Amino acid sequence: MSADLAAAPAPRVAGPASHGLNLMRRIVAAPSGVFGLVVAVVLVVVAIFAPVLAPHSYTALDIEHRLEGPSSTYWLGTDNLGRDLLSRLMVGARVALQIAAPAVLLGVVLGLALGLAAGYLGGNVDRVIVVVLDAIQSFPAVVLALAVLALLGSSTWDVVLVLAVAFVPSFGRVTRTSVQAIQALPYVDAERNLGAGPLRIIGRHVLPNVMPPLIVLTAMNLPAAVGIESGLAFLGLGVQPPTPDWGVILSDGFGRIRDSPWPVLWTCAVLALTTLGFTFLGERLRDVLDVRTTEVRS
Amino acid sequence: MAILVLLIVMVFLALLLHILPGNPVTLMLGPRADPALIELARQQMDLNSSVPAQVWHFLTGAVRGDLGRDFLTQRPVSELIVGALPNTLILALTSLALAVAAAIPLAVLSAARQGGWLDRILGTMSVGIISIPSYVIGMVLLLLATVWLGWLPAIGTGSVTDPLDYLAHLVLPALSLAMIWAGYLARLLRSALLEVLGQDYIRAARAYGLAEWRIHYQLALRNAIPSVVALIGVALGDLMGSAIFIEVIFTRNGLGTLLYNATTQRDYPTVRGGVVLIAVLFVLANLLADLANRAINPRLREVR
Amino acid sequence: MPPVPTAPPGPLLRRRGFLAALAAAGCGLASAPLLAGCGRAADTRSKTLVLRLDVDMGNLDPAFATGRSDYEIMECLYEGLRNYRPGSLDTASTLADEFEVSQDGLEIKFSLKRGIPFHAGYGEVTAADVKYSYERIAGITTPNINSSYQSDWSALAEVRVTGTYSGVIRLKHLFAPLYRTTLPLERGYVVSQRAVLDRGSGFGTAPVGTGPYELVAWEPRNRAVLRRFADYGGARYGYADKVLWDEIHFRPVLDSSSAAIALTAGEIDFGPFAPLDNKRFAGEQGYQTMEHPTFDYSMLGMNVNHANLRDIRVRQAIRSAVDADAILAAAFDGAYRRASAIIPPNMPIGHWDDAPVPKRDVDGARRLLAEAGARDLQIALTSSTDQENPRDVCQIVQANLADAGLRCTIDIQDAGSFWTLGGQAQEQRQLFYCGFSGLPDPYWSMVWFTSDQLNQWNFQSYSDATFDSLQQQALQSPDNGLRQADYVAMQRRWDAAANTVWLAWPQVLFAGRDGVVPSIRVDGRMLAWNFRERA
Repeated sequence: MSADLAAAPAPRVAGPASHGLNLMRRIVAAPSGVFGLVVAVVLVVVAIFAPVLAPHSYTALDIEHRLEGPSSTYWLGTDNLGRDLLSRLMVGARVALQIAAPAVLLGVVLGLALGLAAGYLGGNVDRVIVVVLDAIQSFPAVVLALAVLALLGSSTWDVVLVLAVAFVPSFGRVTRTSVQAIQALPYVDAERNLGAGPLRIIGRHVLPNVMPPLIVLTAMNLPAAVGIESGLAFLGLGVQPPTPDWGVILSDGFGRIRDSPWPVLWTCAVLALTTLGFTFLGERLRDVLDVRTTEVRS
Repeated sequence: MAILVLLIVMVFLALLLHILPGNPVTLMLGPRADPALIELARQQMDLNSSVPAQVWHFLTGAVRGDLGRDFLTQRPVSELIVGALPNTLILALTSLALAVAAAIPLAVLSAARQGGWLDRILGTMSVGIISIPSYVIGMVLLLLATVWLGWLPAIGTGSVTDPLDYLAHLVLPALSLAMIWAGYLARLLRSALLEVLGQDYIRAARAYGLAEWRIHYQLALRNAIPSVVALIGVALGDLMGSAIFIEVIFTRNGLGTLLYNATTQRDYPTVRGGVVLIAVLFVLANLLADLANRAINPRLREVR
Repeated sequence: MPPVPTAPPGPLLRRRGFLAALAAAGCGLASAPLLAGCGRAADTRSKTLVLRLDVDMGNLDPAFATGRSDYEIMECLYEGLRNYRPGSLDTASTLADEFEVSQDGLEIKFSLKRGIPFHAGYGEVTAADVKYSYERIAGITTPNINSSYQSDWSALAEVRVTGTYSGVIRLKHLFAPLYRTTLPLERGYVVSQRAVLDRGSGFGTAPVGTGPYELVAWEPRNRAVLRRFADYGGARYGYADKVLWDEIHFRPVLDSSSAAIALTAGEIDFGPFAPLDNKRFAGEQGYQTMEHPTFDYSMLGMNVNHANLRDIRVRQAIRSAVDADAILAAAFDGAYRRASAIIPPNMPIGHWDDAPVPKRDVDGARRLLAEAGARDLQIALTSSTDQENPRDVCQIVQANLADAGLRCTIDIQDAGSFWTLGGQAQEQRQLFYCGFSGLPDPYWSMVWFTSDQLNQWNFQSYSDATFDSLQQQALQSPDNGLRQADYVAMQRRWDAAANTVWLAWPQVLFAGRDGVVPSIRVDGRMLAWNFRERA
């Protein structure tokens, strides 16, 4: 599910206070921030360096030792074909990010564009965009994915696209609210009267103010994307074997849960850690960036 | 407004075959279908009419309850959906009820002892848990309660004729879904409660000697609930989506497994029908929540 | 979860039949009847048996039956002149009182038992019905109904009626499978001529036979309900006891794990299951499991017409590299026997005793590939979701081939796409995993791999003139010894062509509640009418 928290903008002067090292320091000031940052960093590192870090090849079979628990050779145990769980989970991190990250980023870009258009152009354009965003949000993302993937079949790119579309509403809303609030500010109004063009206003005022909530939302939507993408893989949609998507590992392990709980256990642990980590990071970022939240429902 | 959203959803579904890249028939049946099947598909999916006509037929058909026929066995999709729906609805509603039932005491206790350990744990975990995928929680519960402890049955809905059996089969799935939302709802309710508890009339009630628990549960809660009711609509919609995974994991027959199987079998009419139903339910749930909100909270009524 | 290998290919299954056989899993249970309390409460008034089918029902007309589910239902509805004794390779007389084969084997004189009634008041069985039943399948009647089973009766010249209850079946040439597969199985059932003419194409869902049960409800993808035929003529009582059940329900549940639910919930009594689900019931209190051999086979085939697989060394390399034992252990949970050729040992004739069982030889494979200059080859491996555990099988094959230096992509398609015949589908086929089912005569296993099945069911594009002529020869041979030699010779030639890696001869695995005593036909089909209850 997508964490549907939109931000009422805190109009502020764009300043250096939220940059770089200072930001980091403030994030790790709280335990949730530390946890979140550690998870995020570990995940990215593992994702990038998985082939190097993984102790075994993720396709190497060892039928004789299938469905075994942790041992000295296979630190987390083996799956139903004797493949090393640790290696598969590591490569799985890469697969997860390869789908989730582009999906969320695409969602941000599209959401930003739509939100800007809605907020800035107003009127009928605004109304149409809002209704469309509402319509998209009236599907749980998984259901939307099922409908589309039933037709398009199992391709990574299709999954990325569907996920991106599912996230557009949350980003779009945040942007739109931001734009509307900015426009109402007296000094922005004044600037406009002095002849400042829309692009300048967007660049100088809107973007810096909409960035913090968008960043927070990105951090919150990323775990949702990973969750949905793994879920789809669990259902058999989106990846072909032998790609070790976490959802696939879960699904294989689920079929043989009575023979060995380890595949399911480790995958659940990894998924839980990832989603918790990014969510805590997002929460901490929200506190640090001083983004006030109000729940916006469809 | 809700009607408009629903309309757009239906139009989108009617047009989906045409929006996506590729020939509609190839999308549905795969690249190598034989001509007889192609013709059947064209007829049943109304592909021989013009696109606007297709949308119109779909909309009018849906209103009448005619969502087409499943290719494989020619049974009406509405029949399949209606048959599968009850199990899923029961699951979703039970989960929601459980979540609310858990959320209320949690929220009241946290608000009562603000800053206490319960409050702090709730604060951290409530947002965390909700972000964990539902199937992860479902699997862990399945492992714990069934594979390891053997307390509860692992698969199926149980016999409908035996309510106790049905309940036994319902516990784990409902719990999995409820756990996700309980924390989040509790957190929201807590914030609303805190706001209410700061009001003057609460202090007045206390001065009058009203019992503390009465203040919390009767007075404060009643005024805090409205802000949460709205979210219940969202929760219900989300539960329908998560129900797909839970149904597959606990091998329960319902809308989720229907949709899932139809997707893997490339049975597009059924997929489309199922998605329509879920969208309708979601919009309905939100509408109901909205109306309930207005009914409970007179202030909102005036604002309107 | 995919079921055991699909029903016999060939004109028996049109794509629609296939698709009809692949309905959504478990939806049969999800529909209204379940919630209407169709879960069975203990009903002491009428004895009901509920059996699971793992493929959907299609058509109950013997001329158009679509697969094993239809066969199992038809077993209760129809009878032939002679049928298999339950659990045996011997046939016994059912409708036929006398059954005499001439010296030259081209004529069969038969006379029927008197007073055997058809269902639904269609009168007695007469020789005219026998004539109609067989000639319509053979395509001799006008109009030609184009039965899917025409090849079963291809040798039929005519059935001459010599009296109300007697006649002669005259053959154009010898047809060895006649006594093992045509007469005692579905193609040999006697239907009521009047009923077929009355009901036309509706006969497939409103059948009229002489069997101990008649069809009272037909709901595709949901269930078929049979009720005991009150006026049953007792043709089978020469070799079986009186039937026990008042009603028999057949429920198609395509997903094996959903079927396992149904068994634990008491909604079905007995049925076939995939190895993994079958294991769940082994040793459980209150349940029984059993296995029964079939004549089926599953294989990794290679389309020799595809550029990638044209070189025999590449194919031999693949054969050497694949670890069939690993596949049997991991993908099939050790439940199936390893196959060494196409004909299993339980087939009455044709089993090749000393067929070579390739041992895994990765180095040998590498050498062969190097010789063939096929270092950078990328092979496409396809399978279908309706096969047994395609994901594991394909991943094991992929890993095996990678060890030998061959890259391989996996594409597990939906059944409709995979089973498309000829044309582009065949051109694109390379390496594939699937299975076919067999019958008690080797002819039917071999028939799909002859030259006239190219661009049809001959996915390997195997074309060998000697193979074809041996097949024809064995078909018309009266001597079992000669046939045996022919089939072994065919398998030898096939082995030399190296276009198939034999995987398994799948058993059919059953599970059910303890209280029923099952009865299984020699080819692994359930004989529902002969199920008993444990005392």
